[in-house]
Amino acid sequence: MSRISVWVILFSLIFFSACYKDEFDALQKQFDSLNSRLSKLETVDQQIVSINAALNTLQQTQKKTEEDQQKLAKLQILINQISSLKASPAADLDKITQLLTFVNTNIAAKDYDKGIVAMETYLKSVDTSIIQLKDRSKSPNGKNMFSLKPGFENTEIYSLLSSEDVLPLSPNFVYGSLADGNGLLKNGDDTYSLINNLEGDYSVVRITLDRSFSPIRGEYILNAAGSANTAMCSGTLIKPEEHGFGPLYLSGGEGGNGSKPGVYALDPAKKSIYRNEAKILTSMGEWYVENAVTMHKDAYPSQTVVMIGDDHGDDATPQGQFAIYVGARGDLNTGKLYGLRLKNNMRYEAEMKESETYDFEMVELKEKRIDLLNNECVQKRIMGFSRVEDIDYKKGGGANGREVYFAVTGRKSNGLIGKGTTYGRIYKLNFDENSPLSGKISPVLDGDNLTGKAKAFHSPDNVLVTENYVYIQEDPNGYPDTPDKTHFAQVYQYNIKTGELKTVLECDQMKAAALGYGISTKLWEITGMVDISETIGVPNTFIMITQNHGWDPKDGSSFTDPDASVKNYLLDQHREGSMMFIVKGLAR
Amino acid sequence: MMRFSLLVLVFITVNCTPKKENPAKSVELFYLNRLEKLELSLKVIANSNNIDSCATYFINARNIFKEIEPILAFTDAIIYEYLNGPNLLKIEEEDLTNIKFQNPIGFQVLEENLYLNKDLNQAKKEAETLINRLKLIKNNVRLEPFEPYHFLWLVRDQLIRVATLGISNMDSPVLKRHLKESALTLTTLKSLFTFYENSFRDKSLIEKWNLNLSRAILALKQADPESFDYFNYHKNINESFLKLWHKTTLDWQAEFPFDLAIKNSAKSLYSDSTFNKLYFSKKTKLQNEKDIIGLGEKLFFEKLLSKNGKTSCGTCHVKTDYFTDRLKFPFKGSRNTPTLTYAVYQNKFFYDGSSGSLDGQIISVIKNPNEFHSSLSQYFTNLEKTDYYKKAFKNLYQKPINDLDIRDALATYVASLGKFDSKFDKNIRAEENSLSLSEKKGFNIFMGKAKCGNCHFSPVFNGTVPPLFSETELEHLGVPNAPNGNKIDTDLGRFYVFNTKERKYFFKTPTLRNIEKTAPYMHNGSFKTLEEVLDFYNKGGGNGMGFNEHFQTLPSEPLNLSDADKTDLINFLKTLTDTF
Repeated sequence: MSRISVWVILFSLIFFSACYKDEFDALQKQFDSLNSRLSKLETVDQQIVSINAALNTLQQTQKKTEEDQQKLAKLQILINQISSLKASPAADLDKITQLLTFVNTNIAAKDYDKGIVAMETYLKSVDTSIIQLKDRSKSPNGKNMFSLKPGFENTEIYSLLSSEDVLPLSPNFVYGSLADGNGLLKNGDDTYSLINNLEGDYSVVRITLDRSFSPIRGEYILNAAGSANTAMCSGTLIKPEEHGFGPLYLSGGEGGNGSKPGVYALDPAKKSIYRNEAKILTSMGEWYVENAVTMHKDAYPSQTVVMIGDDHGDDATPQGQFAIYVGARGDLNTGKLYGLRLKNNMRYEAEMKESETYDFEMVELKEKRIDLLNNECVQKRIMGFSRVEDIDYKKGGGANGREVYFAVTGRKSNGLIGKGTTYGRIYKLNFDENSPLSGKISPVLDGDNLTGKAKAFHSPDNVLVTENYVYIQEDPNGYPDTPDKTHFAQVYQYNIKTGELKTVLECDQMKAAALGYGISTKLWEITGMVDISETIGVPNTFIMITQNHGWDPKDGSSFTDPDASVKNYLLDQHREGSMMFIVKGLAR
Repeated sequence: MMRFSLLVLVFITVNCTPKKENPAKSVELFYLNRLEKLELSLKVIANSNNIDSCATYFINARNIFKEIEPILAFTDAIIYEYLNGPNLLKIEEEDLTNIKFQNPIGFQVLEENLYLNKDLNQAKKEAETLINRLKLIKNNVRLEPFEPYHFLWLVRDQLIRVATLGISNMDSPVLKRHLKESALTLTTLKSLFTFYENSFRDKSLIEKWNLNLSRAILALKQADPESFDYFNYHKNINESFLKLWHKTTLDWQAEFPFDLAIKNSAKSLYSDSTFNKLYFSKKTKLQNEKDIIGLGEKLFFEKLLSKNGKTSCGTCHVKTDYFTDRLKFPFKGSRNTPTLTYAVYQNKFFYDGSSGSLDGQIISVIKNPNEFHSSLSQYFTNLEKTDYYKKAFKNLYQKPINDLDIRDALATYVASLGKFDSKFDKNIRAEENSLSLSEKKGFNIFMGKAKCGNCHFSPVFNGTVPPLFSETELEHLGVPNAPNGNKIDTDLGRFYVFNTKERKYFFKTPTLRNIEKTAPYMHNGSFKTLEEVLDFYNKGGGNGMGFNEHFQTLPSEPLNLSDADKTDLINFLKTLTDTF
C-alpha cells in the first residue's frame, strides 16, 4: 500500500523535474536508494515473519523445559525490539538482515543462546530507546472501542494490554477484572513499571514494559488473600521528583464485607512472592478509600499532605468525606488527620451552588475505626458528599499544587434529595498558601443542573488534572434520566482557564459488542487516565483504562489470575476483563 | 518464647510499679500474643491430612478467637463480623451497577465443614483464608492511640454482645459451645481490666468488676444450654453490668467525644434513655426538640399535605392502633401497614429496605398516587396558606415552610414514638415484679429454643444488629400466600429494588414490640393471629411447608415447640405492649 503511494509520488516528482537535469539526477539517486532500502526492508520483514513462525511453532508444539521456555520468550522480546527498530531511518538494514540470518540459523539449530547474545549485543550498539506507540494488544484497537467527539477526531488511541493478552515473560499472567488506578515509573534499565490496581480481584499488579513501551511481564504484588478482599480502587505513585520522597505507591482500599478499609502502601519494587502481605497506613484512618493522593512537594515545603476521598454511599445523608493527612515531609505514620468543613456551617453539599465559592477549614479527627471516624465527622459537621471519588491537583509545580479537583459521583435515593448530588459534580479546592488547613471550595461542574454545561454528566468518577485541563471520566451508576445523560461512559475535557467543557470521547459499546466485547446494556467505566508524557518523553500521551463490564471469557472461565484471587470463593460477577489504552494527542 | 517473656515482663511492670505506661500498649501485647497463637492453631488445620485430628485444633482456635473477640470486634468490626458470620451468602447492593456477592468464610463455615460436611479440603482452604485475614490484622495492629473511653466502649460492646447475641447461640451452629465461649470473652474483659487498674479512683469498683465478671463467667460455664435462664441473665447480670459500667465512666471521668447508638449515660439496655436517636438519624443535636415533635405530630395528622385533602400519615398509621390500620393491606396498597413505634431504630425503611432514612421514606408517600399523590415542590403549598405553620417554621427553623424541614419535623415526631414502658421493660429494670412464670419462660424460649432472638434482636426486638446497631437485616422466610397456603407469596420484596435474583422474597425484620396490637402479621398480612405465625415458624418457614427455597435464611428444620412453649411465647410477646 504505502509502497504504491511512494511510487506515485516519486513518478510525479520525476515528471515535474524532467526539465531540470541536475535535480533529476539527484532525485534519481534518492529514488534508487529508497528503492533499495524498501527491498531490504522487505527482506527483513520476511526474515522476521519466518523467525516468528519458527518461534511460534516451538512455543506451541515443542516439549520444552522451563529454561527453554524462558529463552524462547526472551527471543520473542528481542525480535519484537528489532522489529520496532527497523522503521527508524537510521537503522542499518544490512546489519539487521545479517543479524537475523544468524539468529534464524541458530533457532533452527535450537541454539537459542547464540541468537540472544547476538541480538543483545546489536541492540546495545544502537539507540533503541525510541518509544513505539502502537497497538500491542490482541484486543481491537481504540477506534473500535470509542467514538471520538467533534474536535478530537485526530486523537490516537492504541490498545496496550487487555485481559486476553499473553505476555512473553509471564505467559500465565492474566490481567484481571476492574482495572483502576495506576502509576508509571521509568526503571534504571530503560524499562518501565506500571503499578495498577485491579479492583475486582482485590489486587495490585506490576506490569513491566520494555523500552519500546510494549508490555512484557505482569506480576501481582498484592492479592486478595493479602488485602482481605478489599477493593483496590484508585491509586497514585509518590515520586521523589514530584513529592520530595518515594517512590511509594498508595492504593485506596474501599472496604466491604469482611475487608479492611484504609490507605494501603506498596513499594513499587515489592517482590511478587510477598503478594499476600499488606501494609496499611493506619494513621490515615479507615474510610471507604477511593484514592489517596499526595500533594506536590511545592504545595507546602516542609510537609507531606495526603488527600483522601471517602467513597461512602449512604441513602439517608451523604457521608463521603474529604480528608487530609498532614505530616512532616515523607512521614506517613505520625501525622494528623483532618476533615473538610464549610466555615458557614452548611450541612449538605447540595446547598452549595454551581460555581459559587465557599470557605472551608480542616478540622482534626481523632478516631480511626471506620464507623467511629464517620460518627466523629457527623458530630463535627464535616461536609458529607455523595461518594467522593478521584482526586488530583493541577500540575506545573509551585502554587498550582494547591489547586485540587475531585469528583463526587452522586447517588440516587429519596432520602438524599436536597442533600447530596444525584448525577455527580466536580469540585475545585484552593488550599491557602500558608496552611493546608483552610481554603476555598467551589462546585465547578454540577450534573444536577439539567440545563448547565455539565448536564450530560452521568456519574463522573475519575479525574486527571494537567496544567490547563481537567479530564473527567465517567462510571455510569445506571440512571440515565434525561436524553443528555443517555450515553455510554464519556471522557470530558474541562478547560481550567475558560471554564469550557467538551466531550472528548464515548465508549462505543455497540461496535464493541458487535466484535464480541461485552454487551451494550452493561455500561463500562472509563478510569485510570494518567499523564505519562514526561515519563516516556512523548508529548500529550496518556494511559486510559476501561472496566469492560459484561466482557466475560467465552468458554465460561474467568479473566482471573490465580495469583490474584481464587475465584471459587467468589460468584461470577467478576469474571470480566479490562483493557488498557494509550491515548495520544490530547492537550495538557 | 521471646514474646511470652515480654508479656510476663509487662505483667510485672503493670502490677508492681506505679505506672504511667499506656495501658493500651498492654492490651496490644495481649492481643498480638493471642493472634499469633490463633494463627498457629489454624496452620495445623490448613496443613492437616486427617479431619479428625483437626477437631482439637479447631476447638483450640475457636477458644482463642473468642478470647480476642472483645478486642477484634472493637478494632476490626467488619472483619470480626465476617469471621464470625453465618454460613449464608452475603450480598451488598451498593447501586444498580454495583452489587457485590461474597461467599461466607469464617469460623461457622469451618465448623460446619469439619463436623457436618466432613470436607477436609474445603476446611483447609477456609483455614488458609482465616490465617490471611488474621495476618493482615496482626501486621497492622495499632492500639496506642486508644483512649480510656475506647476501652470503656470496648467493654460495653462486649457485654451487650454476650447478652443479645452470644448466649443465644448466634455463632456455634454445630458444637453449641456458645455459653462456654461467652464466658471466655468475659474472662478476657477481666484480664484487660487489670491493665486499667490505675484508672480507678474508687478501688471498690474494680473489685466489683472482678466479682460481677466472675459470677457471670461461672453462671455461663455451669449452665446447661437447654435450660439457660436468659431472663435472669438480662435482668440481673447484664443490667448490673451496665449500671457498674456507668459508675465506672463517672469514676474515670471519661471524656467521651460523642454518643454512639447507646448513650454514654445509659444505665439500662431497656429504657427510653438507652438510645441516642441522633445516631440513627445521622443528625447533630436538635434545638427545640420538644417543639419540633409537636409540629411533627400536627403535620403527621395534617390532611392538607395530600392532593385530595383527605389523606394524612395518620390515615393508615392510626395512633390508637399503635400506628397501624389493622387491615391486611391499606387502601390500594400491597403490603401490610407496619407500626411506627420504635421505627427510628433502623437504618432501612419499608419492607424492602429501599429507603435509608425516616425523612427520606416520606418522599415515597408524597409521590405515591394512592397516598399523597403530590410532588416535592407542591405538597406543602396548602400549608403556606395557614398562619400556624408559617409561624411555626419561622420560629423553629428560622425559614419559610419548606420540604426539607417538613420532613425533618415529621421524622422527629416518628422518632419519638415508643417509650420502653412495656411490662417487660419495667420488669427488666426492676421497677415492678409482675411477670408470670409463663411470661419469663416465654422470653427464655424466644432467646433459646425458638431462636426468635437471632433475628429479632433484643432490646428493640427488630432486625437492627446489636451492639453496633449499624445494620438492619432483611430475611427470606418463605411466607405463604395464606396461613396454610400451598404457594409462596408472589411479592418478591427486596428483589424489585435492584433485580438481584438472590434477594427474591427478602423482607426487613420488623420490631415485635406492640405485636399484640398490630395484627394481621407479615408483609402480606396473611396471618391473623400470633398462633398462626408461631405455627409457621415451628414448621421451618416456607421450606418447612415444602417450598424448596434455596435462599431462605430461616432454618428449614422444625423447631419442635410444644403447645405449652407456644403459649409461653405468646404470653411473653404480649408483655411487649407499650402503656398507652
